Amino acid sequence: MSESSYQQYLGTLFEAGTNTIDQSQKSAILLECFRFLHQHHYANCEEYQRITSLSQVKFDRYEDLPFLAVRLFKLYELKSVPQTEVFKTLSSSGTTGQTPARIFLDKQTSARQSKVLVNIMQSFIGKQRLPMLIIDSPAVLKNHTLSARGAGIQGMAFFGRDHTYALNEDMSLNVDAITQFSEKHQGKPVLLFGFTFMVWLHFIKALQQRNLQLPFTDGVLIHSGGWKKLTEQQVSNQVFKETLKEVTGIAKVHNFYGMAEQVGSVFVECEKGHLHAPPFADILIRNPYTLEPQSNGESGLIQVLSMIPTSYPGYSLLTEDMGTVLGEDNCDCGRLGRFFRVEGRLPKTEMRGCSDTAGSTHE
Amino acid sequence: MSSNLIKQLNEITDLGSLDIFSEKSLTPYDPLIISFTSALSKQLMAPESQHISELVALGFWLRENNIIKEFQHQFTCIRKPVGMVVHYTPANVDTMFVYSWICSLVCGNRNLIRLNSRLSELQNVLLNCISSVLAKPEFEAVAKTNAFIQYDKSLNELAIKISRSADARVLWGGDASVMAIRQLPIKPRCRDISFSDRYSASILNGDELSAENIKDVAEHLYRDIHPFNQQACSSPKIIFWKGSATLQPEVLNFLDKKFSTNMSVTLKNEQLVMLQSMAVEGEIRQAFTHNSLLSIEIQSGASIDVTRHNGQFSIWIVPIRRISELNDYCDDKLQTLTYWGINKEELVKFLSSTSIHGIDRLVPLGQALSFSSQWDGYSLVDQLTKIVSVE
Repeated sequence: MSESSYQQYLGTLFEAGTNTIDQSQKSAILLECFRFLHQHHYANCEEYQRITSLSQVKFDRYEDLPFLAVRLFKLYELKSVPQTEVFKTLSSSGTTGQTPARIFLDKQTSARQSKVLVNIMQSFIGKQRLPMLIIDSPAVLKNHTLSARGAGIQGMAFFGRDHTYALNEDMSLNVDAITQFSEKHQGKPVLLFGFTFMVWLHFIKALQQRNLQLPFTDGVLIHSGGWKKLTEQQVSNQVFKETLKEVTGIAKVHNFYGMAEQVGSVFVECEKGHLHAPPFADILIRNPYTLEPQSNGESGLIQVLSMIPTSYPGYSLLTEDMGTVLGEDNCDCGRLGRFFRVEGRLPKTEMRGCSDTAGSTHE
Repeated sequence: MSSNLIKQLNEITDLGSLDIFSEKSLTPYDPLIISFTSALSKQLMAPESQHISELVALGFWLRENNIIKEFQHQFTCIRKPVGMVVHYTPANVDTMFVYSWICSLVCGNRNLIRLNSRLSELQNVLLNCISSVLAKPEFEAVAKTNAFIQYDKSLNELAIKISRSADARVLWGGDASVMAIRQLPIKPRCRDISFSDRYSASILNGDELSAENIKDVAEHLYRDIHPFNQQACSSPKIIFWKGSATLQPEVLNFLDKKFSTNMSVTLKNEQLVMLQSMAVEGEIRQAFTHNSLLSIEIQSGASIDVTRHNGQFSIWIVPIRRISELNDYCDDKLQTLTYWGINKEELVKFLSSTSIHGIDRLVPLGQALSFSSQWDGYSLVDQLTKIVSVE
C-alpha cells in the first residue's frame, strides 16, 4: 500500500464517523493502514527495524502486528523522520523520578493529531465552539518543551472560546476568574476541561470547601489523565459525576483515555459510561502472563493501535494499563466498534535482591 | 510478632533504650552463639515458616554441622570482636543480610541491624523466626547484643550518631545507596564492607552435554536462577556457552518447565522491555520467549550492558570457543562464576591471571546462592574480627 492510499483511507474514516462503520469494515481499513505504517517505520526508523526483525510480521489480523513496549519511549529517542523535520517534541508528565517519554512530531503527524482529535471530540460535544473553563493554571503552557498536560490543554482549547483558567499557579481556585465566567455564561452551554485528579481535588473539592455553587446546568466536562489517585481515595466514576453535578450543575461528563505516545486518537467515554475506540484507532487486550490476545470480556494489558503516527514508530503500543473489551458494535449509545473499560495500571515490578538498600527507598 | 523485635527510632534519645550500647561483646565462636544459630536453623525449617525456599536455604546453611564446618577452622588463632557492627540491609528481602549478620555474630560482635521501613511478607516471616528464638531465656545475652531497628533516613542526626558508633559497617545496596551511606561520618578505624552492585554468570560446556545429563544441568541452572527472582548479586544473568549448542534448546526447555505457573503479572512485560531495548542496542543475535523464561543469544562482538538485565528469568547466552574469551566480559562487577562440564584447573589458571579483574567466586553450577563467609572477595571473619598477632 502506498502513502496516497493511506491518506485516502484516512479521508474515508474522517467522513465515516463512529455511527456508520462497523468493526469488520473498520479493521479491514485499519489493517491496510497499519501495513503501510509498518513498512514506513521499518524503512525510516532503524530501532523499529531492529525490534521487528526479531520475529516474523504477518498482516492477517491486528493480533499479528508487532507492538512496542510503551516504556521504550522513555528509554530511547525513537523517530522515523530526520531531526530537521521534527517540529515539536512532546514529553509525558511522567511519575516523579522517572525519565519522561519523548515523542517527536513532524508537521504532518502534528496536524493529523489535531484533525483526528477534532473529529472525535466533535462527535461527542458538537461543532459549536463553547465558552471554555480550563481547570488548570495558564502557567502550564509556559515551559519550552511541551508537557503532555500543556499539549492536552492546547489540543482541547480548540473546542472552546473565551478561554478562562480556573486555577492559580499554586493550584488554588482563581475565584475572580470563575465568578466572572459564571456570571457571563450562567445557564448557557459551556465546556470545561481538565485532568481528572486536578478536576477532583483542585476544582470540585475546592468549590465544596468554599461552599461555592456554579450555574452550569447546560455544561459539559471533558477530563482525562487516569483514575489511580482517585481510586486511592476511593472516588469512583459515579461519585465523581454525582459530586460534580451537585457543585456545578454539570450532568454531561466525558472521561477519555489517551496517552502522550498516541496524542489525538483518544478513547472517549460515551453516555453509557463506556470508552469507545474511534474510527482512527483500536484496542486489543493481551494476557499479561503470555502476551497472547484475549477474547472480549477477558481482562489484560491494553494494546493501543492508532493510524496517526508517521514521525515516530508509535502506531502499535503495548501499554502498562489493564482493561477489558466489553463489546463490539453493540453499545447502547449507538456507536459502532469496540468499547472497553480501563482497570488501572499494571502493578510496579517488585525489585528484590542485593542492589537496593533501605537507605535508597523513598517515595 | 516481629514488631517486638524491631525498635522504631524517632529521635536520638531513643538510642538510650537499646541495651546494645551498654552491653559487652560476646566471645568469638562462643558455644552459646552456635546453639543460637542451630535453634534458628530449626525454626526456619519448621512448618510455621511456610517452607519458603529462601528461608529453607538459610535454615539449611545455619545447621550446626555446617556452621562448625564453615567457621571452626577460622578461629584457631586469637581473634577478638571488632565491637559494634552496623548492618544496612537491602530494601526487599533478600535473606542475604542475615548471612552477613550471622558471620558477625559468630565473630562475637554486637550488631545493630537497620531494616527497611516497609517489610515484605517474607521479611515478616523471617523476623518472626528470629524474634521467637531470641525470646528464649537461654539466648538473653544474644538478644541484648543484637538490635533490629528502623528509622527514617531523613533523621540525619540519628543516622550520624549510629554510623559514628560503628566499629565496622556492612553495607548492602546499589552503588548509589552505598555511596550515600558512606557519606556519613565514622570512627577513624571503622571498617566498611560494601556489597554493592555486582552480577554473576555461568559457564557451561555444550560438548559435555548428553541426553543423560541435560535434565540435571537444567535442574542446577534452575537452582542458581530461580531464588530472589534472579535479582541477587550472585544469580547468574549470563551463560557463557562453550562448544556445541546442539542440545541448548533442550536444556532451556527443561529449565523453563521447572518454573512454576505462579508467575508475576509484570514478568512478561518486563521481559518485553528488556528484549526490545537490547534489540534497539543491536545486542541480539536471536531470542526465544519460553513460557516463563526469556533466552537471548548475544550478537557476537556486541559489548553488553548488564545494567539492562534486571533478572526477570532472562538469560543472555554468549557463545564462546575458548575460556580465554571470557576476558572481554570479566570486569570487576562480575562476582560469581558457576561452572559445569569445564575443567576446574583450567578455569583457576585463567582466573589467576592478573589481567582478570572480576570473578571472586568460582563454584559448581547449582551453588550460586550457597553463602560462604568468603563473599564478594572478602573474608568476613577477617573483616569482622581483630587478629592478635603473637610472636
